[in-house]
Amino acid sequence: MREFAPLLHGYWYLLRGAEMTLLMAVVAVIPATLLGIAIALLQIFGSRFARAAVVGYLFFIRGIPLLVLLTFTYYLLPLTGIDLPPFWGVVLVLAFYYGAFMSEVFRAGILSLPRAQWDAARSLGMTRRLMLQIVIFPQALRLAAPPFVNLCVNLVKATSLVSIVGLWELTMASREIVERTLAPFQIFLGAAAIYFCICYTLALYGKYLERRVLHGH
Amino acid sequence: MNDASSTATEQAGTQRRPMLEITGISKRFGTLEVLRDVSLSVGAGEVVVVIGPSGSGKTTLLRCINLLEDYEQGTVTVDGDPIGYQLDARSGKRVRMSEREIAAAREHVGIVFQSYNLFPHMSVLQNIAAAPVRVKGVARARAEARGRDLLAMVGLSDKADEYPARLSGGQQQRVAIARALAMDPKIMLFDEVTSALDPELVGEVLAAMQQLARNGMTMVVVTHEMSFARDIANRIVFMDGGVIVEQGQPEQVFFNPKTERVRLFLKRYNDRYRI
Repeated sequence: MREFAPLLHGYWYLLRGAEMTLLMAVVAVIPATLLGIAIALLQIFGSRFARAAVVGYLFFIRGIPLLVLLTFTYYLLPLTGIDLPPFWGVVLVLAFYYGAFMSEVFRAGILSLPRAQWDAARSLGMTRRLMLQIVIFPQALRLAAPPFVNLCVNLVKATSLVSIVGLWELTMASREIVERTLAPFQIFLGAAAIYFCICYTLALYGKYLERRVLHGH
Repeated sequence: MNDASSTATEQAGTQRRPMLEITGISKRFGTLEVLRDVSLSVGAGEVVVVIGPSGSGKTTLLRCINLLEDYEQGTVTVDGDPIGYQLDARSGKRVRMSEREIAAAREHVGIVFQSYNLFPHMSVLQNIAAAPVRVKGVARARAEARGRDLLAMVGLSDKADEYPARLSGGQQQRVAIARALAMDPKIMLFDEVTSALDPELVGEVLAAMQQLARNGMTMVVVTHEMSFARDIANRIVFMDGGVIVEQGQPEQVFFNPKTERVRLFLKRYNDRYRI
C-alpha cells in the first residue's frame, strides 16, 4: 500500500485536473455540435459553392492530426494578432476538429431517414424549416445519438493532448506530480482510472441510447 | 388525345365544377418519358380511379399533382388555384411558385401513400394534429378533438395514444387517411394504398375510402383493386406508356373497352386473378 502513497497525496490535484478536462470537453462539445449540425445541413441543402467549401474543410481536417493542428494554431494565432487565452484557443481547435466529424454523424442520421418521410411532411404543407424541426431532426438526432456519444468519448480523451501547448488539465497535472514524486506508474495509473471512469460512463450512456434506437419507441 | 378519351371527359365534366385541372403535363426521368402531355380534369365530388400496368405513369401523375415530383411541362390547378407552376399573364410562360407558396398550396391536397409514411416518433394523435397545429395554426385542443373525430370515422378511436409501430398495416393506413383529412383538403389522392397490405387488411382501408367517397370527397385513386375500382369510381382512367389511353364510366371501360390495349390488360388481369 505504501507504494501508492504518492497517489494518495496527489489525488486531489488530479481531480482538479480532471475537473479542467471535463470543463474543456463540455465547453468544446457545444460549438462542435452546433458546427456539426450546421455543416451537415449545408452539405445537404447548401448551394454548390457552400457544398464545395464544406467538402474542402472536411478534407482538410480529416487529413491532419489533432496534435499538429493544436501546435500549429498555438504558434499561428499570435502571428495573426488574435489575442486569445490559450483555453479558448484550444476550445476553438477542438470545436473545429470535432465539428467536422460530428457533421458526418448528423449527415448520416438525416440521410438515413426514408425519403417517404420527407414526402409525407411536404404533402401536409410543411415548409422545409418545419419539416426539419418536427419530422426530420427528432428522428435523425435519435439515430445519430450513439455515434455522437462515441465522438464525445474521443473528445474527452483528445483533451489530454492540449498539455503540449501548456494548458493545465488532468494529463498536465499528472506530469507535474510525477516530477515531484518520481512515481510515474502510480500517478498515471490514477489518471488513467479517472479518464476511464469518465469515458466508460459516457460509453454506457451511448450503449443505452443505441438500444433505444434499435428497439424503437 | 383520341376520340374515346375526349368524349368521356366531356361526359364527366359537364355537370360538375372542376376541382382538379391537370393541363399538358410532361415529365421525363433522363431519357425515359414517364408522362407525355397528360391532361385530366376532375370535378368536385368526383371519384376518378386510375388503372394501368406498372410503369405506366399512374403514380408519377399522382405525385406531380402536389409537386412531390417535378415536371418539365404543363400546369396543375386545384379549385382554380395553381399549385407548383403559374402561367405568366403576359408572356404565357410557366413560372415556378416560391417554396412557401407551394407549401401553402399543398395544404389543399391530401395524399395517402402505399407505405403509409406515418411519423414513427409521434403518437397516432400527434401524427394527425401536428400539421393542422403547426401549418394552419389551429389551436391544439381543437386539432386534437378533430383528430379524435377522424379516428372515430376510420374506426380507430382506441388507438389515439399508440405509436405507429404498434399498429397493423391496415390500421396505419387508416391513420394516414385521417392525417391527410385533418388538413381539410379539397381533394384526396390515393397511391396504391392497399398494395403493401396483407389481403385480410385490405377491406378495412377500402371501407374507409368508400365512406369518404360517399361523403362527397373529390378523389383520385391509383389502384390495382379492380373490383373496388368498379364500385367506387365515377370514372375510370386507363394509363399506359405515360399517356391516358382510354377513360370512361366503369361499366364501359371494364365491360366494353374501346381500345385493344385496355381489353388486353383486363384480360390478363382476369386470367391472373380467376380462382
